[in-house]
Amino acid sequence: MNANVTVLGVSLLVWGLVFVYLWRLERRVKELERK
Amino acid sequence: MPTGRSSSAGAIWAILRKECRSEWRTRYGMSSALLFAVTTLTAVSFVTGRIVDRTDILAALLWIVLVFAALASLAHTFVREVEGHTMTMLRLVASPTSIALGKLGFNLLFLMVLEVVTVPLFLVLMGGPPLHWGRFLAVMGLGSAALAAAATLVGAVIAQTRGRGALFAAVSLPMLLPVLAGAVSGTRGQWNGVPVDAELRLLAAYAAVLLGMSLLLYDHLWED
Amino acid sequence: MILRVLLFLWLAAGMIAGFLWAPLVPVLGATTRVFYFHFPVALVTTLAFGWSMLHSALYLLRRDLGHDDHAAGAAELGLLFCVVATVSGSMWAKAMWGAYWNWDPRETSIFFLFLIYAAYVALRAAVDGEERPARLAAVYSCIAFVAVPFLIFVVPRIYFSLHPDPLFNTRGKPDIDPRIMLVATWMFVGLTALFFWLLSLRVRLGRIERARQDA
Repeated sequence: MNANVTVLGVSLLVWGLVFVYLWRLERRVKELERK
Repeated sequence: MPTGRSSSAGAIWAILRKECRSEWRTRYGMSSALLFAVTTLTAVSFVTGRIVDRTDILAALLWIVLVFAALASLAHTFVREVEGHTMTMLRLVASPTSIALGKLGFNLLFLMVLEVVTVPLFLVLMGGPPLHWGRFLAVMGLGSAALAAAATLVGAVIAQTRGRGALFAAVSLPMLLPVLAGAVSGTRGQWNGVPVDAELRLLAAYAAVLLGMSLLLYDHLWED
Repeated sequence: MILRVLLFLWLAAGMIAGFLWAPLVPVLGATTRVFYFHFPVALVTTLAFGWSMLHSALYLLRRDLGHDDHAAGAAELGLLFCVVATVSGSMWAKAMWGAYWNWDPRETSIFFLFLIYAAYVALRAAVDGEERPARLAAVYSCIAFVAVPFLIFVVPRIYFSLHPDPLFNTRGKPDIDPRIMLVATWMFVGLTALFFWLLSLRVRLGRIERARQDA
C-alpha cells in the first residue's frame, strides 16, 4: 500500500509540474498572438 | 506550363534508354555497386566459410548484401539529375509519370545486372545451389522489384535534400523492412523446401502498392 | 482556460483511480498499473501518426501551410509519445518477462513507428525553405502510410509472439474487470486531450512565426 501511494504521489507531482509548464507556455503563446 | 509532354510508353522507353546511356558513359554507378557487393561478399565468405546448414543466415546475408549495394547506388539516378540541373529539362519533355516509370525501370535493370553477378558468386562461395529454382527465382524477381520500387521512391524524395547518404539509409529503412522480411523469409523457405506463396504475395503486393504511390505522388515531388 | 484546469483534474483523477480504486489483474500483479499509462500513450502515438498522415495528404491536396503545421507538429509530438510508450513498455517487459526487449510483434510495431517518425523529422531538418520541406515530408508521409499495414502484418508472420493477452480470454472476448477498462479509457481520453492541447500550441506557434516572417 505504501509503495503504491508513493508512486501515485510522485506521478501527481510530475503531472502537476508538467501542467504548470504548459500553462505558462499557453499564456506566452496567447501573448504573442495578441501582438 | 510545359506543353507537349508525352506520357506514352515511348516516353518511358526513351527515359530508360537515356539512363542506360548516361550510366554506360561513365559506368561509375555500376562499377562501384559491383565492387561494393563483391567486396562485402568476399569479406563475409572469408570469415564464415560455407554455411549450408544455416539457411536463415544464408538468406539474410544475401539480401543484406543486395540491399546495401542498392542503397549505395540506386539514389544516383535522381541525385545526378538534381546536381546536373537537368531535372527541369526532363520535366519539360516528359510527364512525371513517365519519369517515375523510366527511372524505376532503369533501377530494376541495374539491380538485375548486379544480381546476375552477385547471386551466382554468393551461391558458389557460401551455400550451394538453391533447392528449388522456380521458387528461388520468383523470390529474387519479386524481391528485386519491391526493392527497386522502394529505393527509387525514397531516392526521389531525398534527392532534393542535404546530407543525402546517411539520410537515405535512415529514411528508406522503414520502407525496406517489408521487402527484407519477405525476401529473406522466402529465400530461406525455398532452401528449407517449404512453399513460399505467402512471401511472394507480400512482395508482389508491396511492389504494386509502391508503384501506385509513385504514380500518384511524383507530380508533387518536382515543382520548383 | 477552465478547460485546461479540467484536463489537469481529469488526468489526476484517472491516476488516483488507477492506483487506489481499480483492481489488479492476477497475472500481472502490481505491474497492472503501468497499463493505465503505457497503453493509452501507445494509442495516442498511433492517433498522432494518423493525424499527421491525414494532414500531409490534405496539404498535398490544398497547399495550405496550416495543414503542414499540423502534420509536422503531430509527427514531433507523436515521436515524443512513441518514445514514452516504448520506454514504459520496455520497463514493463523487464518486470514481466525478464528482458527489456524481445522483438515480439507489438514491440516491433512500435519500433517501426518510431523509425518512421524519426525519419520524417530528420527529412524535414535536411531540407531548406518553407514550402519544400512541407511538400517532401508530406510525400514521405504518404509513402510511410502505405508501408505501415505491411509492417504491422508482416511481423507476426515472421516473428514468434511474446505478447500474451492476459487481459482477454482465449475466446477473444474481453474478460477483464470493467473498472480497469474504465480507468484505461479515462486515461486515453485525457491523454488525447493533452496531445491536442500540445498540438494546438505547436500549430499556433508555427502560425505566429510565419506571420512574423511575412511581415
